[in-house]
Amino acid sequence: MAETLLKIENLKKAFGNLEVLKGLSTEIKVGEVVVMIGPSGGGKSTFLRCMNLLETPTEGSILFEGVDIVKADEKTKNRLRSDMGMVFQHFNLFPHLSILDNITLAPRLIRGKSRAEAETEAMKLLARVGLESKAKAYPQQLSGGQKQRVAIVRSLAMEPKVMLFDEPTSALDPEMVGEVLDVMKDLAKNGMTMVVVTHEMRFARDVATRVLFLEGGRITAEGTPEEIFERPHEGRLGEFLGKVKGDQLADADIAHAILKAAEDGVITVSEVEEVLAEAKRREQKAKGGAQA
Amino acid sequence: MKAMRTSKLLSLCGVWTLMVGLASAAQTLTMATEATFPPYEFLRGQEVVGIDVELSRAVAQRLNRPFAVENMDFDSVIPAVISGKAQLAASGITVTPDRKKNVDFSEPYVTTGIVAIYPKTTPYTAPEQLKGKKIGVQGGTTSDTYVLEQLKQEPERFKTTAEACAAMLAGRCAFVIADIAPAKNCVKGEARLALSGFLSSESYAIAVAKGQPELLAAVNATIAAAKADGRLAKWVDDYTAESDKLKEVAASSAEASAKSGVAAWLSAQWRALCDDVYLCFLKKAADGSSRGMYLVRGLGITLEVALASILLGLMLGFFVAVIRSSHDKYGYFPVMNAVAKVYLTIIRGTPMVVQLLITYYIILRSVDSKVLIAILAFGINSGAYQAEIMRAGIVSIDPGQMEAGRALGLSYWQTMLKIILPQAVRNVLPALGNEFIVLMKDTSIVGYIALIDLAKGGDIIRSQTYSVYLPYLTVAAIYLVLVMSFTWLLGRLERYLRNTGADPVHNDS
Ligand SMILES: Nc1ncnc2c1ncn2[C@@H]1O[C@H](COP(=O)(O)OP(=O)(O)OP(=O)(O)O)[C@@H](O)[C@H]1O
Ligand SMILES: [Mg+2]
Repeated sequence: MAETLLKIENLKKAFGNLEVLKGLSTEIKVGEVVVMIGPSGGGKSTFLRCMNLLETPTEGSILFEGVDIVKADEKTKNRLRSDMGMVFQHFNLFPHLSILDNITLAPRLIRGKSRAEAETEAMKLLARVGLESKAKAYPQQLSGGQKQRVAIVRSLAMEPKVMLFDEPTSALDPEMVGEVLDVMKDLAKNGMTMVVVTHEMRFARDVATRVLFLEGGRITAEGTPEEIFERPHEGRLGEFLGKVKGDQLADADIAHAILKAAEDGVITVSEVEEVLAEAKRREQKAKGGAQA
Repeated sequence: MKAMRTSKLLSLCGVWTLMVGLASAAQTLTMATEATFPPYEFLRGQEVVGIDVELSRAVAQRLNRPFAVENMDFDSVIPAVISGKAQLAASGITVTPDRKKNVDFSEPYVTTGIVAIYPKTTPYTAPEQLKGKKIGVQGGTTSDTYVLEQLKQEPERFKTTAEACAAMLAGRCAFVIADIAPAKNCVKGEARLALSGFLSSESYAIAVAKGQPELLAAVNATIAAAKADGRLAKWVDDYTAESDKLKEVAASSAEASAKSGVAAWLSAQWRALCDDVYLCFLKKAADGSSRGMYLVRGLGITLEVALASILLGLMLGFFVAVIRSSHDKYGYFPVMNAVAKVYLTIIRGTPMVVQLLITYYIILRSVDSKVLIAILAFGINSGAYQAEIMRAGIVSIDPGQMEAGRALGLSYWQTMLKIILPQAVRNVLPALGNEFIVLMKDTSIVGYIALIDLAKGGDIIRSQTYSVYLPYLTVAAIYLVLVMSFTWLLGRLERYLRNTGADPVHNDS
């Protein structure tokens, strides 16, 4: 059994009178990919943000490598955060800095790396996500998918022990979802410990080692992807899965499959683009018809 | 030279004829004067009036003789009594040994001059004490010239002698030098101050031809009587008031009289302008530098004060803005936030001039450098305004930026400095630039603490030359050029930031 990286016990968080997390307990082991799913407002983001102390829990403890980080002093908290990467739904790149500076800022400031050293490492990471040509660009000049890949690289540059993802593909156009998920898969394959909040069920099924279902501030279901996805469920989880499968899972699945096929050389990229363009045209036609 | 001699000879002949002709009649007592020295003698229309005229008329009355006034060149006044063309020479004449050889002088009827006013705690004993000390004067007066020419140093110039005295009591200067009349006024109600003897003085007396003891006695008796019964003092007051009023009228009618043909008018204006340029900017002042140097050095002070206080204000503004917005958003720094609020309220609720004076006279009264005082006063003032501008900029930044910074492990302040502030500044650059421009022009009030900036430099030239247009318009033009260059630089900076592609407002990618 791998060692425990994060141990969360009876975690509670309230905003004023609103209790958002009502006592969560779970363990995250080194190398695990934990996917959190659940209805909107269930507290997934809040849970994730408590893990790296962007939110201060009202009760309970979070042990990171055996140390309770909730009670740590400000300096220790800063160091702990630098050991946990976080990727946001809206990227949150720094618009006034070039891509290279976005990535090297924290390693230079916190890890005390020289500019040259930090930039060499940044370029290696950019190459890994296929964006080394964008090193001198600014965030505005990138597409959403490219921005999110840069955001992942920015976190990776700190060599974190765990990566937290909060709906990393939700703000992306469908055709850009795949490129980001691929980077995440690659990370998982290389043994990165990850906690991912996502609605991409296909990703959850293929990559997760464990799935948590968060609802009303509690973990109401937990298990391997097979346990969660392949077995029929009663109650909220069943409802939830039925809904995402109905509207989103299918589309994402198809798009992903097409892109994968293009990558593997089964069909050409231009053919894919044609299919996507045609799909878009139909969609718009359908929308226009509905309005008229 | 020759022409003058001839005319003097002619007038001598004329006097002889007169004396022969009127030898037996009750002789007219004629007063020789040059009526260009108000309030002693000046023209009221065609009539010569003034203190000297009243005094001479009183002599004629005492002798029961008719009275007449001859208006002539000052150079001719003493020769006129020597020659007998006139009996009294009264033209604000100072008694000198040279003159004493040629004529007899009455007792002096007026003694004027400048004196030092000093605090009784540091008594004044000898003129050597003044050298190298800070000396307050009313700008543009003979005292101003005295300090420049006799002591060879720059005085501290104030609007009035009373203001200079107040500054001295506040420890801002060691002595004040002033004309005797205003000096007496200042010391009258102020037990802490005392007057020295004259630093330089002039005594005016009436001259008569030698060998006329009766006439001289009559003159002295008249002077003594006029002094005793207060007539002399009343004349001084009345004619001083009248001549002051005349000066103003003369200034305004000078413009009105300059017409008759556009070309003539233009060329006259051009000549006047050239004269003015020479007088105001090129003519060497007492210390050997031209008057224009007041503007050059003043510009230096203006730039020094403006730039340094902009920087100070920027730092203060950043700090206060971060405190305020951190408190509003996260509840950090409650104590410092309260202090910052008090600071903002006081600074934005009181006039800049008052803040400057309070800094100068009360808070930093022991600080010697007025430039430093001005920088602190303006920097602290501008900090309040820049803080509110910066706060708006900080609030406008997406909270995700702070979260991303913190999530990377940066501390709150590191995130503020490296991520939030650079973006905030960019967003509020136009508003900040505007504040800088306002500040640059606001420094023109440093004259209140006797610091000679650009505006005060122009004012000094005006007070020394009595020329109004050129000094002030030049000063205005220099300010305009300063502001325009600054606006241009700011525009370049904005464009540069936009071109880096990093401008969050003009996102055109
Ligand atoms: N800073 C905050 N102040 C007050 N209430 C908050 C705050 N952040 C979150 N909440 C509330 O907490 C509840 C849980 O929010 P959270 O963002 O964790 O849900 P979620 O599971 O991530 O939902 P979604 O899928 O929509 O992102 C919501 O009702 C939300 O309104
Ligand atoms: Mg969320």
